[in-house]
Amino acid sequence: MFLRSLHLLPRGALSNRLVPAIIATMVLLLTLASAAAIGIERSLASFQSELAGRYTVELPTAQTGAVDDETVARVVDLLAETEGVIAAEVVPAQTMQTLLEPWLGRDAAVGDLPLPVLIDIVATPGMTLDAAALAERIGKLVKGARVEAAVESLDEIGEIAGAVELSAYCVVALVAFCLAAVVVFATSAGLTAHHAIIEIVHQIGARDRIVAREFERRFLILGFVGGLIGVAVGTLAVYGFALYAQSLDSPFLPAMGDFMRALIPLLAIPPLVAALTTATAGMTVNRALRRLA
Amino acid sequence: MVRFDNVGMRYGVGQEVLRDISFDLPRGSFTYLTGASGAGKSSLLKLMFLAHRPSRGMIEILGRDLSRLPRQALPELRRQIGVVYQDFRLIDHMTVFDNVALPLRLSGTSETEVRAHVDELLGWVGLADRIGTTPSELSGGEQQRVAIARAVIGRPRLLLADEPTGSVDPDMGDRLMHLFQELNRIGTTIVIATHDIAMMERHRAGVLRLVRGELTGGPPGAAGIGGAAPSTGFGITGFGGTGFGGRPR
Repeated sequence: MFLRSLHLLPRGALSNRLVPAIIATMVLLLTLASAAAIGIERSLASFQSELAGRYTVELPTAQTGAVDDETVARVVDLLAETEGVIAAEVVPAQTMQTLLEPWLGRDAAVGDLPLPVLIDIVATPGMTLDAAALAERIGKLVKGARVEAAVESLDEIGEIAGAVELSAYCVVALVAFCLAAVVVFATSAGLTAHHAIIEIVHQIGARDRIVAREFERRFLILGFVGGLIGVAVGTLAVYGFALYAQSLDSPFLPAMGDFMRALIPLLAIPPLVAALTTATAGMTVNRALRRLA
Repeated sequence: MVRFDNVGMRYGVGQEVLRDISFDLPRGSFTYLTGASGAGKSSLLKLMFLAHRPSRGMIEILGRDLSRLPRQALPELRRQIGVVYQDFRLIDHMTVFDNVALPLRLSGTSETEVRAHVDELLGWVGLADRIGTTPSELSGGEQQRVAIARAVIGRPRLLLADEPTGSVDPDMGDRLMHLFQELNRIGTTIVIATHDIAMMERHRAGVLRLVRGELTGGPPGAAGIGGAAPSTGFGITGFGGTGFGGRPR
């Protein structure tokens, strides 16, 4: 019955070029915002997964003076014997220099600075080390030694990423609201433009829901087709961006396959948009018709 | 069937265009509504076809008190009222067939029945060869016949017509009047707003006369033409047809 149309509205009514274009554009924005939210979530997960089980031991030299190689070797041995540690590796001076280059410049005499000795630890996957206890044990060899979990240092980044992700979902909600508003305006304009027809069919005895269905049917098609176009264009844009991101070869970005798989739920956008436009059109028409005699 | 009791009507906050209207049209009556232009004929018809609410008084249509009728009951009541508008009000993007079929489709009639009834009725009003055309391709008289066909296709219990023969030649006017008379003979209550004195002379019936918004003449309880008792069939004769429908009301 829903699909049986009485063709109360002229062919093309409500679907001049502008309305489908606006719906497709809104859905494109919806797709991009959703993909951004998913991308941020996946990147953060990838980032955290990459750094999970990573710890850094810091042997300070500012107050105690340089730590000799023998002490460093004893610390490494201690770490190697610690349960849950599968690797412990001193960060080479060259790497330290590379890390400090952005702040101190290429020609800085890094060797003259009282830089701490850093030892990277990789823990057994799924195992959490007791950083405080480990620091206390190392402290017996090197006073003031500290142990930090890499993930802990990412808490702020995680919070920022979470806020950006939330913002992206807010954009999704905002675009959905704007889409509904566009449908309300288009439906109201359609009601005004075809007021004479609606008055006639009302007078002949059409129930409100029959008139509403004519509008719902049009917006079901407009929403679905606009949704498909928007999602198709949006997915292409996201795919292009993902290819670019992949070329950066960053360990903190999700794998291409994982990311694209995470976008599969976006296929639900066209039917969801169709449902949104249909329901909005129906409610708008019913509300307007209730004002008729 | 149609009862007005001390009814007044105004548009917006303006003066009353109808004042103290009281009459009673029994079932199966045939009544002319006449009066000079601006006397309020169209306004009175609007009240009868539920397009407007009275500002005061009581209206009863087909036994239903409009003041107590919930909004959701209006479509059902409207389906029992056929209206021929002075300006036809055909739907331009629909064909002649679809315009006439609309009341049946709105009431959920099957397409097979719709096809049969519409074809037959359009044959009776002389438009069998114009089925696929749109109203804009028709003359004024042809549009009027389509409007009449649309009004009667659902076999209404009450038929209201505003100058229904104003755009057709006298011969076609008489044919359409015969159609109304046949409908009246099977029980449809008919009210025709008209200026056409000659037609009223040829086809005599009760008269309601409006002067400046007030009812000044006409017998309450106008008589039905021919005095035929309402029947359950819907056989229309005089238009070359062999019977129309037979669908139970």
